[in-house]
Amino acid sequence: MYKLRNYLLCAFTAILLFFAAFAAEGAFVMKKYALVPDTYKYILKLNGSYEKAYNELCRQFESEENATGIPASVYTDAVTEDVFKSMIDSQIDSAFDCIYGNAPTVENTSSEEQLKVLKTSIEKFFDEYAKSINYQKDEAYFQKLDSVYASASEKVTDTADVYQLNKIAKAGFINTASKLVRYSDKIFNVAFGITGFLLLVLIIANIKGISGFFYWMSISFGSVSALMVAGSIVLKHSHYFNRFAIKAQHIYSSITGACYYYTDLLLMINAAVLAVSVISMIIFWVAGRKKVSVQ
Amino acid sequence: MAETKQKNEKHTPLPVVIITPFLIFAICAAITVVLGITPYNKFQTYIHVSFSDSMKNTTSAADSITVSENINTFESKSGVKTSSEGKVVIPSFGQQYAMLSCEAINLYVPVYWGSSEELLKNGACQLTASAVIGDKGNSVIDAHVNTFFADLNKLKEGDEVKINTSYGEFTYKVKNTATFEKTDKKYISQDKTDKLTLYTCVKQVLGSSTQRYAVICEPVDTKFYS
Repeated sequence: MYKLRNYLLCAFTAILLFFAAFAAEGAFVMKKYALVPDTYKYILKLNGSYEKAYNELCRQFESEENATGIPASVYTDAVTEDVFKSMIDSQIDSAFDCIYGNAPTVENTSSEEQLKVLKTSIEKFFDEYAKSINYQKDEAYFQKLDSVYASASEKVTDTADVYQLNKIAKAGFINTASKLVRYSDKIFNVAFGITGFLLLVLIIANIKGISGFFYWMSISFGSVSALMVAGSIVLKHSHYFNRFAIKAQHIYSSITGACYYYTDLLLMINAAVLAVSVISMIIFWVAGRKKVSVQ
Repeated sequence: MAETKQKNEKHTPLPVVIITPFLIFAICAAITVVLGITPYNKFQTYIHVSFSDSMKNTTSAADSITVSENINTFESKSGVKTSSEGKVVIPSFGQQYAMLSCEAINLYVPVYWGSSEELLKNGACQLTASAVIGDKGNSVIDAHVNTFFADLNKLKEGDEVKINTSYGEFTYKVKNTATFEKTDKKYISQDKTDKLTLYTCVKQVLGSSTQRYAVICEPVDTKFYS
């Protein structure tokens, strides 16, 4: 009769190792990717979301031209694609400043500076238009100028917020992220620490037949990776994230792009973990299973 | 001694070795799915909260429109007998008595009888001095250029305009357009021709425009409900 006690200890440790490895993976992705603003800028670049957002902005100004009589070029000549791209990046940076506790809100702190060219362009248009129709600059003139600039700048900042960070901040999600950031290092260290500790427990439990360690490690890592790989493949092939009913194309591509990016990232990480698991299981079978659980 | 040791050494049963990974996987997967329900719900809430406004198809022009909750869309009545002649129903001042639609410019707007600033915020307004839709004469409807009639100048000859009322459905085709001074009443006054005139201000950046833009439409199909 083989030692049931050792078998159960190893099985229990393997289950705990499953969750520890799961947490370690999550902590790794969170610390190295999710809480880094460059990740989100990279996702936008990957999905062409910068161009889509700029096209959306141009479309909004063009559709408004009919109603206001102000040519779209007044806005688009000032807010070029490069200026707009830098506004999108600034918005992301501002949001992460807030998440990291360096700013009170997610609002883009450099938007006023970046929109100075827009204000100058609108003022120039109004000035030339007033001169062409011999319009005396009165209070109504300046009120109209201010309201046009306010509307245009709001349109630009709203469109630049491709991840809808202002809305999610109002819903309280940024506060939650801030709390997570505070503990991200600890979570990372604890998750990897526990994983290492449990691997050590497995080594000690199988000290008389070290191939047993490979067997149990393979089960844990194989379970984590199989679950994540299967889940990622199902999400990708069923185009699950395409179902989001977000009508603004640039926001849709940013959000679904981020979802698919993380799906691909988890797929790659877990494919590597699965490879380690398979190799471990091969080592166990080659080294001989005779020594497993027998003391 | 060696024999005793050998006796004690036993193989782990092969079925146990094979089944154990699947059993542990099943246990871990079940726990993960149960624990994953809350984060999944939070993710769905994030999507809903963040993008529920984006799901509403609004345009910048529509931002300034007050949408009345009690609009009657006067949907086309299928299966009802219609005829080309019938009786119109004279509405009261301020009553929303028709729906005007035009696929060419994606226009769908309620029409009120009478004109005032308040009514112009809610939709298009018909001049009470003009012919009721379906009646003989010139039916004149106007709306603001920065709201409902923003795209009126995109209408071309041959585009179809439909008006639905409680007493019938009326289809018009754009015949021509005109630009005139606001003091010129030629296009909005009554004459013997049955037509529909849609008009609005010519857009002006500063001050108020003295010019008006009109789209004149001729009737092509008249269906009074029996």
